[in-house]
Amino acid sequence: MSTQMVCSRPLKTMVLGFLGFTVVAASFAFAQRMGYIEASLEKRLMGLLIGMLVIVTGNFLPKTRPLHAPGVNPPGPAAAAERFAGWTLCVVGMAYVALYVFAPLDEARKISAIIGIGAMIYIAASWAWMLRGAVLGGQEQSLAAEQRAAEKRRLMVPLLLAFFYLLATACVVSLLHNRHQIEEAWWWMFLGFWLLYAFVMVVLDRKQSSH
Amino acid sequence: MSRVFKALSDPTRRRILELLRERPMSAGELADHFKVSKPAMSAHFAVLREAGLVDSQKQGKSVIYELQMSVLEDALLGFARAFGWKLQDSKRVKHKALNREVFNA
Repeated sequence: MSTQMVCSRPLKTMVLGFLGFTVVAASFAFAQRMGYIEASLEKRLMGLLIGMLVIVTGNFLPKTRPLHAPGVNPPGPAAAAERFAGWTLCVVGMAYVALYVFAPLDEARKISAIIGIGAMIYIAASWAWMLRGAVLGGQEQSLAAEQRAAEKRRLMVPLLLAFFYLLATACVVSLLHNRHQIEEAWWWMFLGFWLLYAFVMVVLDRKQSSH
Repeated sequence: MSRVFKALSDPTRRRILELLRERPMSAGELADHFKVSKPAMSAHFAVLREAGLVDSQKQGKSVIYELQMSVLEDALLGFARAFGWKLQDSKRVKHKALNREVFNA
């Protein structure tokens, strides 16, 4: 088995997971609209689905090595930050599942949203700390290693940002009740995530081209 | 998944994974921690690579290994370390059972 295959398998699983999630979520919404299931049941099922997505993403996160940029981040601490983020997401996902199975719906929505936002802020802060190496500099590595990491990033960075965007949207929708507020928050988050994506890609590409 | 269990069943491979947890290391650096022959170490690396627990890349003359474990695999390693799991091959189990029978008789 080649190393390349081992690297791409978790990414493929994540892509398929996202597609599966979209199909199942759409079918829940369709079933609720057609009157096959109640609105409260649909919300519980969506919460469970998000919880499972968070668990699967968290499980594969350390394997996909999103912070791994040779010559940019020190490998030991970067791997530790990825492992910690993976474990955090798995625990958050399990909490989501438990809440949407056992807790009353209103409490489940509020608590899961707070847990989700807290986890995302913590992960974002620890990753920003790691990524400062990309801005400040780092030691040079082989061109092959750089290219390999860049190839992995091409798919992984948008996928991870899409996951965090989805989780953030779910949390905001669970917390806010006013439709106008939800729409406003949605636009701001959309803008924020696009800016973040652009920033990360520009910094990493500039770093790669400078090597 | 059976490859992962096979990889985690051996204490030397578990120790390699624990060493790689600190930082990526070259094959030589890792081999220095064990009193095992080079071919045996290569076999251990191959098992870990096939299970997808480590990633390797060539840098000059040396091969650098780094950890590549999912949360589930990390948890399994933790369990294996805590309880010292070791898969026994069927021959050894049969031999032990035979010894016990002889001893009891």
